[in-house]
Amino acid sequence: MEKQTNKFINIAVQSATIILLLGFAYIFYRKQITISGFVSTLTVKQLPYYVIRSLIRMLAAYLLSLVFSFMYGLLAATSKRREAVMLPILDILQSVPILGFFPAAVYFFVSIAPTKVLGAEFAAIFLIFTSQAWNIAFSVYESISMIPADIYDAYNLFDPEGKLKLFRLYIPATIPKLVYNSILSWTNGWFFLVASEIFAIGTEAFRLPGVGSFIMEAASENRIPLMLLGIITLAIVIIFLDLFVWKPVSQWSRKFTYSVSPGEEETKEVWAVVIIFWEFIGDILRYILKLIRKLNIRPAINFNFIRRIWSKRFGEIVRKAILVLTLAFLAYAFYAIVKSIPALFTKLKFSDLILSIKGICLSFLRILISYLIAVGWTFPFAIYLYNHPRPARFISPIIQILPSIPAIAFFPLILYFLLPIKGGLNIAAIIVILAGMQWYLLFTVYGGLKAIPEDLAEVTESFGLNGKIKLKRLLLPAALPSIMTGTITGLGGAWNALVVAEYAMLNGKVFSVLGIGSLLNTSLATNDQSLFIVSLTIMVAFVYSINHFVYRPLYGKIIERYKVEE
Amino acid sequence: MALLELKNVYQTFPLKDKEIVVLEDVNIETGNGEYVSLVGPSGCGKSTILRIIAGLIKPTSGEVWFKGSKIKGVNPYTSFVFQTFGLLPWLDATENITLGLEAKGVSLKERLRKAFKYIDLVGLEGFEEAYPRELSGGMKQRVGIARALVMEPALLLMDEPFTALDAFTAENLRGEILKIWSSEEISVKAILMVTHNIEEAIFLSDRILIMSSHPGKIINEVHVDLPRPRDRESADFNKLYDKIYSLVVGSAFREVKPVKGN
Repeated sequence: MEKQTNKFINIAVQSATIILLLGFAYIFYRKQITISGFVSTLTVKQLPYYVIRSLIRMLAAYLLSLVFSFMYGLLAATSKRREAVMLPILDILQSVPILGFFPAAVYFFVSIAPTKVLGAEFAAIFLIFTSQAWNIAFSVYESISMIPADIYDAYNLFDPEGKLKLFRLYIPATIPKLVYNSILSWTNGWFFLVASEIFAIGTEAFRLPGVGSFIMEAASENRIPLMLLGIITLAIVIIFLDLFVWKPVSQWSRKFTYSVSPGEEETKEVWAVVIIFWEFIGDILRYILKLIRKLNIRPAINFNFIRRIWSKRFGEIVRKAILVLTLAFLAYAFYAIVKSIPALFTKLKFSDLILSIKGICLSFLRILISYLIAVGWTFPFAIYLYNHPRPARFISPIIQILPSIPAIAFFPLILYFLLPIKGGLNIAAIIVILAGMQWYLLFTVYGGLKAIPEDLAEVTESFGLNGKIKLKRLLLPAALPSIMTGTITGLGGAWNALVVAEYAMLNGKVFSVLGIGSLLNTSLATNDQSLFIVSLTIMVAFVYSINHFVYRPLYGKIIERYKVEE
Repeated sequence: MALLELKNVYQTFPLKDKEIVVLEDVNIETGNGEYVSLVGPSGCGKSTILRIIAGLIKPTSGEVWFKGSKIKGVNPYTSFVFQTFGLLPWLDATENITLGLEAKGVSLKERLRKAFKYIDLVGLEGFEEAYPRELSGGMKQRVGIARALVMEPALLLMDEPFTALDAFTAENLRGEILKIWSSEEISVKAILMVTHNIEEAIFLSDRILIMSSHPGKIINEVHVDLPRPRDRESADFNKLYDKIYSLVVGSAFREVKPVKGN
């Protein structure tokens, strides 16, 4: 009984979310926006400035994601009623290829921001945010709802009023998964950052200054050394952040886990250089702090004041106000969408539907080819690494970092070489998808193999299982769940890559292959509203169906059968 | 006046279309200076009773009274020791111990003063800043006990406090508990402990309540008048053990129909 109502709520909420998303894209569809031309003639000297612009965008989006996700996850995990509505929404947001909505988002932000440039910045930040927030929100929800019962009980006994609950229980409990997912999100973010910077809206390229636009602009000006410099700089920045920020943070986060399995301990060593670097920074900060204290400036904000006005009743009022505002906004959005439906139907063309279906099939074919190539080489390679620990020790740090360099950054480079060839864009699209997918797949499969419990490995060894039998009886089954995780995430990313990869504009010339991504782009370039809405709807429906009717059931079955219990 | 009174407590929960009765008409009274144990087969609702007294679970019906006043919500006179310790992994031993005081708004200085008293008492010197993951099971439970004592409860509730420990550590810690209990340095006026270890119950308690399962019910009460320290090898100890054993086993098999030819 309860299950059925839950299922009903699930479907209702998810359909409403999809309608809202599509309605949003429809309402804010406008013919092209002319806000290009931020990128002037390129020089090497500008590169640091471009990098900093990109980094600020990333940081703003990440902080936004962090705050949003924590609140969303916490709210969903602490009430059954909220959970029933909030989880299905999150599920949809996570599985829809958000990049398709980017043009609508750009228009929306440009129309509300004081200046066009600022609007474009907001849109880019929002786009990066959408690539980072959902999995973090899920991780927060999971961490809080999976706090062990004894710890939860003990906490409630010793703090019955829950005064310190946020800082002593909820935040610490979420940290390990929060950090792990932040690293994944950060990687996603790079992809979307570069994508948002090289995205072409309409016939005019829409460019914000950043590393991504630097690379793209260099490519379209035929300045290959400059483009390579851009790619290398991006890679260096990413690797630096990984080693100097995420590695130490992830080591610190292990303090907050309930138990540490022995194998985990050594994998994420922090280099001595990094520690020395942060100690040096810490010394500088301490020195500055001392100077400030000498100056005896009082802090601008008195925190006691905030605590005083933040009484329970005040919190209650804020909560109610947020709820009312959300509902009002949703009601208005629904009204606006319903109002525009008649106009929509007069515009829609049947031929667009046929074209979109053709497009989605071709796009899916491209994704499948990339996927098969990726599985074809990563799986044997992961097994090789598992069986040969010595080379693995050198290679595994590399394959941990490689996925975080966004494949899309190589797109201009690939285009430069492949566009002159016949069918070159097709190959370029497949390469970009492959590049986005393969490292992640290798990383997860190898991780899955390494997580095989020592005793199982010893058992197979003691029975003399080798070669094919070992593969069939131990390695393949043990790696299946992680292959599946890698597949779902990899394919999800592939749809976003497609939106960028099937359509390219170099030197004002448009190149495209038939596919759902290029249809979206073409519709914007030719101001074909019907095609835009139809192709976006088809893509969302297709991706959603595949996720819910193919991957999910399959994943459930595989997990049930092959998960190694700890 | 009785310290704790549990009056006509029922606990049920719905399963499919039926109501499962976990506890049926449970009545418990404990007086000053009493060490009471609840013994019964697993799944008889022993831990549920403890959680009801602590105010973690609201009973379906029935009342919890303490020193003549009715308790609603979390019981401020009790403190709890958990079977699996329930320590927050991100707080060190001292921070775990003083969590409840911190929530009450006690100053850091006062918190530390109290913490050190109980750290001494349970034998945690030198481990003040250790995180739970760095502690052995026995040490973790010492933190759990100190955390309960520092709240200065009148009634100490212990839910199988020695079950998650190895035999040697458990024996050691039982001795420590008795030492602390008789030391008069603590505020605790009575202890209510849940266990399925009959020997442990006899060794520690003044009175043993025996429960049956399905539904959970108190079916008998045994007073332990053996002089302390108790000798497990003595004839009286063994006689008592056999008596309680047959009561518990009898309750466990009461509902099982005899099989033919058995």
